[in-house]
Amino acid sequence: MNAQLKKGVLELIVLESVRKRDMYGYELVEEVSKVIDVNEGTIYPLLKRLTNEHYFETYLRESKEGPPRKYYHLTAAGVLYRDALEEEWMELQARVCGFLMEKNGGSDEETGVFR
Amino acid sequence: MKKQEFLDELKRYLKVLQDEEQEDIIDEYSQHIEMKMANGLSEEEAIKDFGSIHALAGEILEAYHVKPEYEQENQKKMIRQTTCSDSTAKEQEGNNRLDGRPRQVWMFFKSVGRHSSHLAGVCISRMLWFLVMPFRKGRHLWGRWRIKQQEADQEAAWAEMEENEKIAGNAGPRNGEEIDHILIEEGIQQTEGTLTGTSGVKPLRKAGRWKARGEKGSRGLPVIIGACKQSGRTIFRGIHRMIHWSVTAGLWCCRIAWNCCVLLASACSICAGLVFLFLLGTLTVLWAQGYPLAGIVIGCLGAVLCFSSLAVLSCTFFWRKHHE
Repeated sequence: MNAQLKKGVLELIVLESVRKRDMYGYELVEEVSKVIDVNEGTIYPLLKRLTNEHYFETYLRESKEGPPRKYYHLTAAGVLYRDALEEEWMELQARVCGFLMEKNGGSDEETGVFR
Repeated sequence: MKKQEFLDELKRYLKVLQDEEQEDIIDEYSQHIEMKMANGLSEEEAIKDFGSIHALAGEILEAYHVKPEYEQENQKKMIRQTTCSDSTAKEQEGNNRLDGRPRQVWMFFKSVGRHSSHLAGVCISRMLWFLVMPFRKGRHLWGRWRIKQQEADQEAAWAEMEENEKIAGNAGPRNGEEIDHILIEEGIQQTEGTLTGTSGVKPLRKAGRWKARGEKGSRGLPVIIGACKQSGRTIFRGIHRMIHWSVTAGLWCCRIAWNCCVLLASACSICAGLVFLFLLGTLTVLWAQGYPLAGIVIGCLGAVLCFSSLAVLSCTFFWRKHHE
C-alpha cells in the first residue's frame, strides 16, 4: 500500500484500536499491523504526538512478564477527534468511490461495456 | 546492530529533547525490542523492523514539533567540534559549568538575602516605632512639664520678691529685667570693689544678700499669710497636675489597649482569610478535577472576601493622635 495513504489512515486506526480497551505500545503495534503493513517505529512517534495533544493518557501497569508497561487510554477529546476523523474518512471514501464509479461507469458506457 | 547500539544512536539524535522525554522514548523502544525477542526474533531482526534510525528520529522529532533538520545540523556541528578540538571544548564546557552555575546561585541567594534583610529591617523598625511611640511622646510631655514647672517656680519667686519688697516699703524690682539690672549693677560695684581690693564676695552672693536684706525687713504676720498663700497655690497646682497626668496616663493606657485589641482582631481576620484562601485553592483544584465541590468553593470564596474586608475594616479602627 502507498505510504502516504497509510500515513493518512494510521491515526484513525490507532484511535479506534484504543477506543475499545486500553493498550500498551507493542500490543497496539500488533493490532495496527493486522490492518495495514506499517513500520513499527512509526507508531511510537504517533502515540507520542497524540499524547502530547491530550488525545491519549498514559499510565503504568505492572506486568508478570517483565517491567511495568505503559498503557494508552483514549480521552474524551480523543473520542471526539476519532469521531471527526471517521466522519472525514467516510466522506472522503464516499466521494472517491463515487468519483471512481462515475469515471469507470462513464468510460464503460463509452466503450459499450456493462458491468 | 545490537540493541544498546541502536538505543544509543537514537538517543544521540534526540538530544534536543528534554532528558525525561528521551528516557521515555528509549524505554518504550527498549521494551518493544525485548518483547519481540521474547516472541522468538533475534536482536538484529527486532531492530531491523524499525527501519532507518535517521528517519525514525525525524518522525519522533516531528511529533514534538521540532525540525529534524535542526538536529541534523546540530549533529554535524558537534562532530566538527569533536574532531577539531575535542579536549579543549570539553574543558571549556566544564569550566563554564563550574563558573556559571555557582555564580548564578550565589547571585540569586545574595539578592534574596539583601531583599529579605531590608524587609526585616523595615518591619522591625516599624514595630519598634509603634512600641516606643507612647514613651517618646511621654518624654516630650515630661520635658514640657519640666519647663512649665521651672517657669512657674520663677514666677513664684518674682511674686514673692515683689511682695516682700512691698511689705518692706521698699520700691523693689517689678520684673525680671529690673532684678537683672540691679544684679548687674551690684556686679559692677563688686567688680570695682574687687579691683580696689575692698571685697572678695562674688556678685551672686551679693544678690543673695540683697534678698536677705529684703527678708530681714519683712518679718511679721503678712509674711506668714503670704507664705501660706504661696504654699496653698503650690499644693493646688500640684494636685491639678497630678489629676491632669493621671487622666493623660489613663488615656494612653486605653489607647494602647484599644490598639492591641484592634491589632489582634486584624491578625485573626488575616489568619482566617489565609486559611480560607488555602482551602479555596485546594478545593478549586479538586473541583476542576471533577469533584462536586462548587458550593463549598463559592462558600470559601465568600469567606475569603469576608475575612479580608474584616481585616481592612479593623485596620481603620486604629486610635491615632490627630496632628493639627
